[in-house]
Amino acid sequence: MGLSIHLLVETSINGLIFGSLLALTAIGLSLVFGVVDVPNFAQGEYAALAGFATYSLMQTGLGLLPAAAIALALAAVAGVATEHLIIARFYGRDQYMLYSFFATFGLAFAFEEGVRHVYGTSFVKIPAPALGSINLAGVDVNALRVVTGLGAFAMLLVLYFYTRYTHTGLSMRAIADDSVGARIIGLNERRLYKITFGVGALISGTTGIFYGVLFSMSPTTGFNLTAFAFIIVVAGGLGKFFGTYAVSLLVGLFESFTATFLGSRYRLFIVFLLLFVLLAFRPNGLFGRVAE
Amino acid sequence: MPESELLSVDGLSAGYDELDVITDITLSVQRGDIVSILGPNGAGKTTLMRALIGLLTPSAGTICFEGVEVTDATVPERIRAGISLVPEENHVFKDMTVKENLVLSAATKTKDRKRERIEHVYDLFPRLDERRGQRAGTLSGGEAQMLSLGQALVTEPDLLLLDEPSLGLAPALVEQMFDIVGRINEDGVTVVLVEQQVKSSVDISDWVYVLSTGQIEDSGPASEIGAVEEIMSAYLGGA
Repeated sequence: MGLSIHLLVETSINGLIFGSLLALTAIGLSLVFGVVDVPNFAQGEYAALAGFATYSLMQTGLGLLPAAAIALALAAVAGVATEHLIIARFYGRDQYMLYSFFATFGLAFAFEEGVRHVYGTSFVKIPAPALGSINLAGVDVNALRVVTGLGAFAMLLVLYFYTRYTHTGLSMRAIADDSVGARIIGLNERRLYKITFGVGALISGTTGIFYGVLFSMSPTTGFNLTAFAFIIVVAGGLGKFFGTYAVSLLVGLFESFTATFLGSRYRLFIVFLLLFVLLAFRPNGLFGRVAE
Repeated sequence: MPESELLSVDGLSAGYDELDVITDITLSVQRGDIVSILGPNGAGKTTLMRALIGLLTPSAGTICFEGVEVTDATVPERIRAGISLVPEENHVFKDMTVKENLVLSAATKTKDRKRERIEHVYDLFPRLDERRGQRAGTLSGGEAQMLSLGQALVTEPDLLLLDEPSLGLAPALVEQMFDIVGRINEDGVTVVLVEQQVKSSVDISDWVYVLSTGQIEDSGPASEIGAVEEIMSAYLGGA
């Protein structure tokens, strides 16, 4: 009996931590979709890029933190480059959203193949310091996991305040809200699109580093994160910051319990089932308002 | 104060997708005046306003503001120069608070000036002051219109472009709206007003232009009210 309660607590904590990581990619996706109207299928690849870059930089002898900082900068640059080199070509076109979806779809597969070329199909893990364990609710939990979960939460708070109290953050919300109104008050949309892609890639990039520290990365890591992020954003109701976070935690919990009690091969099945049931009853998402 | 020209538009044509909605518009706005642009639906009033703020690139003609050509200037450049638009059917940011709407609109101001301008808007519209922390999407139609006006006023414009501010407002609020426009004008702001409320607009205006099918059909001082009424019946079908 004691053992099963331990298992429940441990599975829950793991789920919440995994959910927090997913939230970062999902918020990045939601931000880019809300502001630039791009359903960015390559969103998870920024996470993969940051994760693999951190790993490779550490291979050259760099410490975890400087390697992570450079990797995040690379992810942000990759985000801006996606907008500048690909998405910017589609502005003003009739099927803008479709074009940008397929273009980012192609980008995701190209990047995945690139990773397979460089790192092979083996799993890669970012070496991180052992921090020992802490006792949470009577269960010993790897402190690194807790630190990572809290780190992800802190990133979300930073982004939240960024969109509340900085001019650029407010401008992003304004464009997502009413793009005509944003142009009337003189906001430079094109510039903000680039910044949004950069910030979105940066925030999703942190997922990759945390993920690479806790789990191991493979060429399909980016794709998997994208799939989870799409589910979360659809289920959470678009543009709902805390809604997205809550659904991320829920998905993390489902994922964790499925992996522990049913076996990890059922993970995606259960998560998609959750999405199906949710959308059947709440077509506008868990926290979405009914269309006005 | 001696009259001087604030805005001068010469031979302006503009529209969407190479199709001109307004053609060869020539008009002049004197500093301190209220100028009404009247005309039926589809006459091109909103197109003209959008061209004046820079949302549309004209296909021909020039726009001069305070003697400087701004035909190719961007929207933020025109806002800095002192032009602001209150769009038809307000475009306030519904998911943002009243305060956030005003702060963002005042981006061209320095920090201290921004605070002063926002306080000025709160003084003008105490309702907005009471609701500063509230999401703009929860405001009533009249309050949202005040916020839209506030968004333009925080930029400290010399020229305020008002595109049908009375649209969708209850009759009592329409009267209030015209009062407010008059008060803003008394503070020294020149106003270009696009309206379908002919009588109320003419009452507060110094000069009137009549726009029909994309062209200026007639113009004259608002004091020559009889002439204007003839114009109205001729072009607006007895409005």
